[in-house]
Amino acid sequence: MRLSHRLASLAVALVALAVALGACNGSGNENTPTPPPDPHALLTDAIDKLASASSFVIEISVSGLPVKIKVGDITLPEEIPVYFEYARGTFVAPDRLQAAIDIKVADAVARTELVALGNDQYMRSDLLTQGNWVQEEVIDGFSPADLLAPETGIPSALARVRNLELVGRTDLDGVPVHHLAGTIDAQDVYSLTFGLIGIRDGEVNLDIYLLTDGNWVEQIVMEEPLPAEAEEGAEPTRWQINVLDYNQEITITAPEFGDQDGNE
Amino acid sequence: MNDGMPGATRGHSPWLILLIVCLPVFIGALDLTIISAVLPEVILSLNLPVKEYLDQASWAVSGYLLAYAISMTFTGRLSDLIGRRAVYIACLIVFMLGSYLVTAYDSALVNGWIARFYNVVLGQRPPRLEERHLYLVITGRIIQALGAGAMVPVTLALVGDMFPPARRAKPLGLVGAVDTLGWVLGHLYGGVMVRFFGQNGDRLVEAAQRIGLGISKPSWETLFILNIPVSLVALVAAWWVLKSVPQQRTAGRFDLIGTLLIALALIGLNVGLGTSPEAATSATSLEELKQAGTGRNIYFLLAGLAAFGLFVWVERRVAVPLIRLGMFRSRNFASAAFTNLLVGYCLAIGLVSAPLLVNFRVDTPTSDQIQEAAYVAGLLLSGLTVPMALAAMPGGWLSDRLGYRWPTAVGLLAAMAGFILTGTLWDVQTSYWMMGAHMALIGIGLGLTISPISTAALNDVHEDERGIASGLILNLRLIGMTVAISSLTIYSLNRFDTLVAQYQGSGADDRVQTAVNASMSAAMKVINEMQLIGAGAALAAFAAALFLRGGRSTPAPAPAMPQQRMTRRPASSPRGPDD
Repeated sequence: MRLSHRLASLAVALVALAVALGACNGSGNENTPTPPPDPHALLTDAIDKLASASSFVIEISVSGLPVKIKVGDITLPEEIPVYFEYARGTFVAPDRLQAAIDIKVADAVARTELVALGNDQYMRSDLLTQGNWVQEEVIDGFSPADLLAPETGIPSALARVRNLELVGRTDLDGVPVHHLAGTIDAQDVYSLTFGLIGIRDGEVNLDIYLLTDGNWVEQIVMEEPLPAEAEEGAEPTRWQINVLDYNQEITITAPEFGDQDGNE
Repeated sequence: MNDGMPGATRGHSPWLILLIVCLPVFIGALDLTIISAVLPEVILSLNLPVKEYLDQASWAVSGYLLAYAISMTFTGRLSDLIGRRAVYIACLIVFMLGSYLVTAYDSALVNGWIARFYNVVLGQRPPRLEERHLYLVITGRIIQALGAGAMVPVTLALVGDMFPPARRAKPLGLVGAVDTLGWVLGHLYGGVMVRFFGQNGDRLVEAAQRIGLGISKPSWETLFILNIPVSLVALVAAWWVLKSVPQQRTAGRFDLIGTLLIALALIGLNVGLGTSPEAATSATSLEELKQAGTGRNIYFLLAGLAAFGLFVWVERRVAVPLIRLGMFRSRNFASAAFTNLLVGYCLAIGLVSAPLLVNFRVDTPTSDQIQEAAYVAGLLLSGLTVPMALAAMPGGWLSDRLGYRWPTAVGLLAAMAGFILTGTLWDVQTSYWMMGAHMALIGIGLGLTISPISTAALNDVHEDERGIASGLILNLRLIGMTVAISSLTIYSLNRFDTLVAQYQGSGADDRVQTAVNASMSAAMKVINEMQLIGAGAALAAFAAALFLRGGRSTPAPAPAMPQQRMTRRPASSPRGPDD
């Protein structure tokens, strides 16, 4: 009995403490609830920060229906389809990019390293170039400057998001973020996916996560509509783009590919 | 423990009990190598590039090996203190839990926890999802191994509880054979099953649907799921039969410091040398072999050596050491230990070279071809390991009649001959039958050494040290394998680079084709040279085996003196009639 009395007293004391603390927190702003932030203002701030970043790391992963790609003019021994799996690249303004791209050739995932300096692209892959650096236009017509280009870059693509709304403040694996949602024309998504997204017409749903601490773009998630020829039961391609490590001091130079094979 | 009550079981035959407790030992040993033949398949199924992740993925094998070796060092002693049944059952549950975790790598909940842990606790970006999947597979494997390895010394100790001293050789041999058979069959079992699942998976799903069961297509994960029902049956049976084994607990202290130091030494050695003898058997190129085997960190190696030095210092001073170092002053034990170290070295070369050559022959990296290569590699490896396990029996028979020395020496000469054949005759066109025949010669040779080496070592130590001595001998073989992979990788890569440059210099116009041809020729030559080094190691082991003596008849067992372990004492060395 004594123990139960003590426990009851403790419970009452804890409830009283909680009420008191609640009252303290609530005092002064009971009648003035904080209005939710304006999603357009949040996104504009995030776009400005992205556009003016001296560097950032971008990480792209896909799930669902595989994304078929063409790897420059490199010919494979057989008609083997090549699919995009994952990429992680460091962009240094205004026009340098170093990336590791995982592609699936047949059933094997192989890593291709890419260095793009302006309009020059270099690549190296064990599977495709026997580990030697070669100068090759891996992504047709791509220049890293496209990532931030005024009309086609990521900031301008984000600026064209329609039906933007604030879903709320949430938690992305322990990181507090603002969750925005909207739609975007498929053709505007080019820069977000290095031109890999399969459709050019229609709209794509977009979820944007901005860090509550500073409004930096943290993650963008897009779901590509299924193409008409997709098999029954196929899941739509889901793109997840993470942007991280803004404004780090990074230098990207051309690979010394002359030393790799001794023949250059 | 219990030496005063040999054969004291209430109601169940000791042999029945032994067979039941050996089942999980077999599965645990099977899992030691089960994944090595299918490691590329595992990495592919996780959607990771094989080359970049083989290094990390090899921890699914080497982490198991390391945890297995570490848990073998101390759980026998732990079971002395808190009881065999409790420790055995706990180990089996840990093994089952680990098996489940391996298959639950894609759990959204667990992956979310990991991401949250990185973000909130470490303040770092979490690894990409596929990497987290890999880390969960590795974690599950390590947990599995902590349970599996621990069951070996506990089972050996149970033999001591259930059988009188004069009748322990056969049951001890059975435990050793079950453990060896498990890991020698793991490659084949893994390769065959994954190929079977690849070819018949859809039909199995349809058949299950017909009887109302909704299952997903079986894959490498199924190998681990299968562990759970089998272990569950063994768990219930062991729980029941072990009740009849008297549970006497030894008074005394557990050498925690010694245990931690030997664990640190093993971790330092393995990480420092970059142990992956089993993962190395999955390498499809010398570059991947490098990732599976080159030294990762000299500081780990130095830390491991320092921990080992401290371990020796501590063991010489404590009243009840984990390992009584005086064992190494006995001629047979020392000779057997050194010979087994070199046997491990030879074995690693035999296990690595055939899969490396098979994988070199894969033209297109389709899942089918990789599964086929894993299957062929598994078959070839069984060409070495099955004869090795089978030869263990005539090895024991010969040891009884001729003594320890000559079966071991003859076996090592046969292995040397096998390595010379592989080193001089193998090329990219060699048929798998021919390769299998050469591998079988190596396997028979190494197999002949198992029984005489183990018996020589066990009969040269006190009876109550047999559990720890068995674990030590097994561990030395694993260390020999580790050292082999590490040292040969460094050698072979340097040699490979030199040879590629040499061959490319005389190349034709087609740059890519020249590079491919040069790599192939260089790799083949390096594999041949590795095998000739194996012949040299077999010769060195032969020389060490010549120091063995005795063994023609069963020596009288040393008196069991469990209480005397509380104080230091000189080693007893029962000798055979030769001495």
